[in-house]
Amino acid sequence: MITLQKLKEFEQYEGRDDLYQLEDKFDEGIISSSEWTLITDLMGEVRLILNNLASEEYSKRIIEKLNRSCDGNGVVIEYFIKIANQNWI
Amino acid sequence: MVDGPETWLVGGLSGGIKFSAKKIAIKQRAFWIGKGSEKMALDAGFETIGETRAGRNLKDLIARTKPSLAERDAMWGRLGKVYAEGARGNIPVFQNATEGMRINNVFKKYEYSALLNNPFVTNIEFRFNYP
Repeated sequence: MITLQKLKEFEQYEGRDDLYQLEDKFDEGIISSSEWTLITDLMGEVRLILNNLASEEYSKRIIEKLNRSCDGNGVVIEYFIKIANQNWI
Repeated sequence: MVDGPETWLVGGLSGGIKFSAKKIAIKQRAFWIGKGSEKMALDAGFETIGETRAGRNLKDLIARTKPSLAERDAMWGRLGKVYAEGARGNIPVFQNATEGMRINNVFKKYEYSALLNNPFVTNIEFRFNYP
């Protein structure tokens, strides 16, 4: 489940899984390896929607996935979209 | 083709005094890109930068001083470059094939060019893993 804390951690590393790994964070940190993959994949998909490159059906599917994956709180999704807009993604 | 880590024999004569040969296992260096790949390299018996004394010291330093992301990138970059400059022979690079890699990773930015410019590196072998 994606939480605000995990998103802030992801943002702090600017999605750099190599630095997260080098600092042993996948073992000791807040985000697990599978959660990192989920966040990265979803970021890419949400960016397609934000850039108007996705069909309506695809967008609906991704938004459903986003709702399912994020902690039941609109703030988390809002923060997710804020990060998806960053240049480093 | 690299089959596995190499072991070197260290010892010899110095100043007329005979030292007994001491067998020290020195693991072959390996590099990695993408999460999960470092574990693959370690499981295959290779040494990675994070497992060296310098790597562990850097982890401690980062944990204590909490530098910025840019500073951490530069710190790992400097260490990675030196590590690549000291590499010898066939060098395996483990890569996560299912998730690809970020463009601005430490290997691409610092280590790869150092490996290419290292005359003692005879081959760079990319090993793809599908976790």
